Amino acid sequence: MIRSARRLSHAIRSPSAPQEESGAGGDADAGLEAYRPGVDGPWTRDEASHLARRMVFGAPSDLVARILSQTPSEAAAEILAEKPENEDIRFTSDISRQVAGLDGAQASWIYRMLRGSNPAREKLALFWHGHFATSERKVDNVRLMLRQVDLFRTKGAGAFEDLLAAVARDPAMLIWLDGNSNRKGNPNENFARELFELFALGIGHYTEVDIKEAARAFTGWHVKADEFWFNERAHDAEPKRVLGREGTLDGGDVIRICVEEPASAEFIASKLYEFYVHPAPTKALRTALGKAFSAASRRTGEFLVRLLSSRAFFSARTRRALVTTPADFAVGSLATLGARANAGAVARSMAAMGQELLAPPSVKGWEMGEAWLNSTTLLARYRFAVSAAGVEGDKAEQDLGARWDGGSQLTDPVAEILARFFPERLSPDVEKALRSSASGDARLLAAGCLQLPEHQFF
Amino acid sequence: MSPSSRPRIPCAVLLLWPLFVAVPIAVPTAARSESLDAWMPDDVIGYVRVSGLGAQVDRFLASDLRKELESLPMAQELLSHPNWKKFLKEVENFETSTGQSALSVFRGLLGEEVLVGARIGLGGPEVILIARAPGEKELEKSLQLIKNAAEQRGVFAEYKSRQRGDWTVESVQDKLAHVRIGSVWAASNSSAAIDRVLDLVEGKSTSSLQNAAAFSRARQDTLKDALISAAVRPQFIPNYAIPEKVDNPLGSLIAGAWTAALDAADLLCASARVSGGDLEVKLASVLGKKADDQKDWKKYAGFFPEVFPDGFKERLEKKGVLAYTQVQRNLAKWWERREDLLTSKAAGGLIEFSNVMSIVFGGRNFQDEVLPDLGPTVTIVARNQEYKSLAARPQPAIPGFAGIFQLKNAKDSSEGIVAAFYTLVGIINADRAQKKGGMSMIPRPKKVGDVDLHTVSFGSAMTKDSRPGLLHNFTPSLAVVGSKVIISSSEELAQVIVEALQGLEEPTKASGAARDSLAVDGAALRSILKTNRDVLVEDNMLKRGHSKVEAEQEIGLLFDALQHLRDLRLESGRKGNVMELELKVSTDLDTKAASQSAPAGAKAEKAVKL
Repeated sequence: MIRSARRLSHAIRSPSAPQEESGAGGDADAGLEAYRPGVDGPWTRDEASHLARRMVFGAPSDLVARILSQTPSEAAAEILAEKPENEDIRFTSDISRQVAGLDGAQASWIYRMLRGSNPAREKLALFWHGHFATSERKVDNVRLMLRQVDLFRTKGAGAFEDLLAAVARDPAMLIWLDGNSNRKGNPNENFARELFELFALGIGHYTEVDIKEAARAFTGWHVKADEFWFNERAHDAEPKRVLGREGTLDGGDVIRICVEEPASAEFIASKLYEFYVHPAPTKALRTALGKAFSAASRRTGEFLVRLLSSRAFFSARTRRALVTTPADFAVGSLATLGARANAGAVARSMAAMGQELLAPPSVKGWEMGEAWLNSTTLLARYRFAVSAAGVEGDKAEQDLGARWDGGSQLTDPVAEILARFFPERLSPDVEKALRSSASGDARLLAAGCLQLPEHQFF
Repeated sequence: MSPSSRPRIPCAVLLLWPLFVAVPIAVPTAARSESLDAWMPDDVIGYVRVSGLGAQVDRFLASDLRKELESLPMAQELLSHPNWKKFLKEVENFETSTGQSALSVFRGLLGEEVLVGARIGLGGPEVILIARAPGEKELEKSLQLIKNAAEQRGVFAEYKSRQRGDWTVESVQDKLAHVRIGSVWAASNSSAAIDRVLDLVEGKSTSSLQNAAAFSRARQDTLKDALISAAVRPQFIPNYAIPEKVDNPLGSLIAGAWTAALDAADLLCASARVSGGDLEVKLASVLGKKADDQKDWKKYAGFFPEVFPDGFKERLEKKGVLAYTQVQRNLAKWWERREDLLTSKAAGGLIEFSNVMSIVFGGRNFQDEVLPDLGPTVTIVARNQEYKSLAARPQPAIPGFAGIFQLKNAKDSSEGIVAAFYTLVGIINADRAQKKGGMSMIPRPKKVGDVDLHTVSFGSAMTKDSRPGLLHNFTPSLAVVGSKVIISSSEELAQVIVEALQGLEEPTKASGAARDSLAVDGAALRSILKTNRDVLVEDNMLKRGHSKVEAEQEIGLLFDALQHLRDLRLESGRKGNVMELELKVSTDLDTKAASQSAPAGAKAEKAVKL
């Protein structure tokens, strides 16, 4: 563990440099061209696993095999395409909506990530949940939180404007940002500020006056009996000026104006890039990303398919360039192993790792990257690793309720487990040490894989 | 007497008379009729006795119950487990090598009665097993078969024999010594222990379990005709220690008397009996001098109050309750000694509770004014709700719960209790309004006979909700009937209890014996579980990572197990110097009736080929 900690520390101190695409900061657009297997590079288990890990949670072997049977763009499109949800998910979702408290709702979502038919949509919903960060701790209504997550599922891959408009009317969001106290003559700027700063434009593309004017446009956007209610009496219908546009603007108009700003396309596209591809795009790349997002009519799904089948995505610099979020680590590890677990216990483990679903720490969401890794969260990850692998005699196993067959169905469990987690092969020293410490025990090997510094990145 | 009138003695008798004398002498006289207790040394720490197991196994194997159990998915899973298959393989090997069924060997050796005792000898723990077989021949045959099978497997190949008077003691690799005493078999991991058994058999010693004063109470405090019974002297168990303090106040209130009983026990007894479809279990702690002598026991005074039975429990049972429990505690005395009974953290946590209760009770001091006013009997009742006022049954559907407390000065205290109730309602409403304009609870008092039933419910809009949720289960209610105060989560249940209490006379006579009781009705339990089946399935899916099909299978097991339950009853209390607990589980399974259609023994044996 000490050696691992040293390697992890080294890896964190030397993060990948901002990505440059084909030419020193030059032809960023070329990096977004489609990756051509056999021309731009290989199309092996390594590439397929890389795509799986980023698009969904982990790299289940059946998904990896399916990816390899298609081209990258076909695979990306197919994974992201919405499929009818299976009966298990329909049933648990229905019950959760009626009876669940916060922990039940968290468990229900984890279960859906693990067993649902649309893991890519769940991942995208998780992205939007972090982007439009809303916490049940203030909303105090689990049903509304679940409705908000449903919103991310249904509209998350569609037009960004539609999603943003729906979020602006979402009861959980309105409660979170005190929508009911936004009234004519006494506007509350919370939502308007976050709309510009965090949700649609980013810092530097608006003024304080724009915020004040936009707040007026959203007056009367209230919640009543857990539903959106346009309170006409509280609405300021007077003319306003937002981002250079004038008129008797209401909230819908402000949203449209925001989304039409070129900065918005860059902002959203870059955020998606940082979540799915690499933590530090260059300025040139951001511009290219903005253009690509606009070219996809600002439809997130279309943009993602292009991004995740691009040369940039499959370049060497993007491999293991992102720190695994707790969701990627926990759910991904279970999915890769093919293990089952107590979904509630997984949710609690994730909270210990710094990511409590439905309760992000602030409106800024979770801090990504290195912030996921500190002594406390690493310990939580190591404990999870031992539990998930079902290492015998460990009490932690009982806490997670994990059940994995230990690879007993595989011809060569040790080799297969290593290939699933590290298709690109570990360094010879590390692999030797890992194999030696496991002494042929697949569970010990799996736990070791999950605890490696290499596995904290994906 | 004339020669013609003398009795004629057959010649055969004259010739053969020695046999009639010698044969009885040759068979050791002690073998025939002794209780096994008479041959178990009295210095055992404890013992376990199993009686009539052979007949019970035969009945079970021939019964419909067995077929039912085998068809359960859980049973199918167990029966296909590698360990079980391994065991069956061993049984098959045994039967192949011996030509006899394993069951008949088991019956022949252990099926009548088995007594196992444990003691600490010079060389370490010693276990003595004494078993009565159906007869000498059966015993001899069974032992020989086991020996043959063991020899064939190369296990226990080395035997040594020694003669001890009329008995042949056989030792196997110094690990096991055994002797046949007629139809009784004695075995032990200690050869010296076998000698002690033989001393008792031969009458050289009378220090037997049967004569042991220390175990004499066990005969009184175990169930008659028990299938299995056990007794142990806890003071001789290494490292036996009962925690002095517990960290759960509710746990202390409920089970504290038993903590005391286990701590002060001279003898612990347990027994179980199966009759018809009923299972009965009895636990008893025979209290020693510690219970009366030491100052320590004064801290348990709160658990043994004087009580005044009033027949309320019996009326309650006629009202279709799901379950009830009645405990009898002097709450004021328990509270006074809480720091002796609870860990400092748990006791500290009660300070805040006390402060809150004082506020709720309108500023009255909880310890000095509220608690002393409460009588010793607390009854908690659960009953399934009918939800007549709602558009649909809520999901989940939660039974109504109620607590019934006694007030010593009902006339003076009842107004304060009603005020406390509305104070709590007000606090809850204020909290809900502050958060997000949540619906308030509205008082809707009514009369039940001449009793005021104070009840609150959510606004009328809630009653029209077509998909009612958790909150719809709650209509908090309060009523004071005579000396009893009822606090209920459900108006329906409060009304039922008020009706049960009306006309009940106030008790005047103390019974002297505080008894705790618990009863669960099988039909009501099945009903509430069935109503919430989907919630149970969903919970299983999330907790176990199961698909819906798998979860339904597992939950189905619970339902299968409960489908035969009639009721469950538990009673616990102190009788003199014995603390006892009796549990009875009644089912509609009657293995005896089922097996009457099929003879035991051979048919059962045939049926056992799994």
